[in-house]
Amino acid sequence: MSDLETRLRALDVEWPATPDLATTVLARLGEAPDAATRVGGEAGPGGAARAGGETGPGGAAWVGGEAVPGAAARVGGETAPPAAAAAPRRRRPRLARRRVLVAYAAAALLALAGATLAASPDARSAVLRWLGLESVEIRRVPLNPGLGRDLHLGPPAPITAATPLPAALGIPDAVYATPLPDGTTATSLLYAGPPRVLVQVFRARVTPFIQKTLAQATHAERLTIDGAPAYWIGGAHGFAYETGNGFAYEQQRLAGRTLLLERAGRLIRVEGEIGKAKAIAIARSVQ
Amino acid sequence: MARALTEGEYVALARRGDGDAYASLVRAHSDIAFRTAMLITQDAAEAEEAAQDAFVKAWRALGRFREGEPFRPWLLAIVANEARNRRRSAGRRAALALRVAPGGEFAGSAEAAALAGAERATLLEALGRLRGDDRLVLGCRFLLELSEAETASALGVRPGTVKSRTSRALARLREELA
Repeated sequence: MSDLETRLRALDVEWPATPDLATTVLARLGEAPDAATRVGGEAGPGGAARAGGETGPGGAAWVGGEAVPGAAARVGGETAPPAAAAAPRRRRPRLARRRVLVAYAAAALLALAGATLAASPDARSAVLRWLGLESVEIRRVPLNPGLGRDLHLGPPAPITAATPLPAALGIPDAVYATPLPDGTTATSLLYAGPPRVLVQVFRARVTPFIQKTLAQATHAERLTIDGAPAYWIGGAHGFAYETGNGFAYEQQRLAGRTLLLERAGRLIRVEGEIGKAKAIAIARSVQ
Repeated sequence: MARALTEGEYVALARRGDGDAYASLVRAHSDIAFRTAMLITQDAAEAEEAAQDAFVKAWRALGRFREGEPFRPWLLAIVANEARNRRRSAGRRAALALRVAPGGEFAGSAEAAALAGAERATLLEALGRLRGDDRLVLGCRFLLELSEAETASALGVRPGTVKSRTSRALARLREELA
């Protein structure tokens, strides 16, 4: 990589804030997809309590009839699954259309907020999730014993004296040699739990690129652990890192809560449904 | 206990009409979609609408998405197409006003940070003086960190074309900096 390319990559551009596309897009797709279209109806309470079921005709009528005339019909056409033909959409002048979208999104929020008052705690959390106000956690897919394979962690590897074990967790349930896009390998330790925890150790540095890519995370907090830079990330994200062979971007995956600690030429990554203090203790204990 | 789903699993759920899963995908790709649209439209409002339209179109087109393929290049092709349509309709615009972000905690001393900031600002200005095509390919490759394949997808050209355009654009950037 030339020096100019390196300098370009290290440019930390201040992009305009990304708008909340999820809310506006969902508003345009209509209410939550009908429970009947979901996977085998196994959505459980979360699925049953979705926006469509909760708001009822009252909410939809209020949105369609008063806030944004015509929107209900258009949205109704778009609730269909992707394969179905959408109803023809009336084109509006761009600015007006945007106002309508905003109005519709606001109306949907209000309708949902109203619905939650009468809803059970389960339903309420499902609605909050739907609105993106809570970290998204989808429980419909059954836990698969072959977790490593699902996460593309690579082939199983033996535990040797060189395996970077976190003393706080002890011997893992599985160890993988995870191939990275740049041709190197990370050690991935899987603890089946509960709580399930994935610890990965890369020979890599994560700065300066992490500052750019962290923007994808919902909540990212910069920390210093024993004088070393670290990040605590609360939501879905992807990240870039630099190894001896150059620059790479992590395979696109929607990771959950993650602690990243860069220490002595190694990047330690702890991911799982655990709190920050626990994650820090695990990362610090990696030998 | 829930586990992190792979992107492929989110896509599969979304294909079967799962709005929750699609919302997760939208959230995960909002930044890259918006910024790719920004590079092309050079206008935040246009970029927002292009990204929004692209996510709606991508939802409708999920039935045609080939399962197992990476989602991001496929999405970025739709985003870039929407953004290009808007740029054509909007005509010529002022150059993208991107600013260099203030240095992070790893920048070292205040003086070093100021020097590094000035150097980066010079680089960004030179980038801004390049012609549209050059700026776009360098923006995709180095500011957005898209791979060659993703850049090819977004620009609607072959990966080989991305490679040659990148090296030409880098040469012109060197001239600007000389």
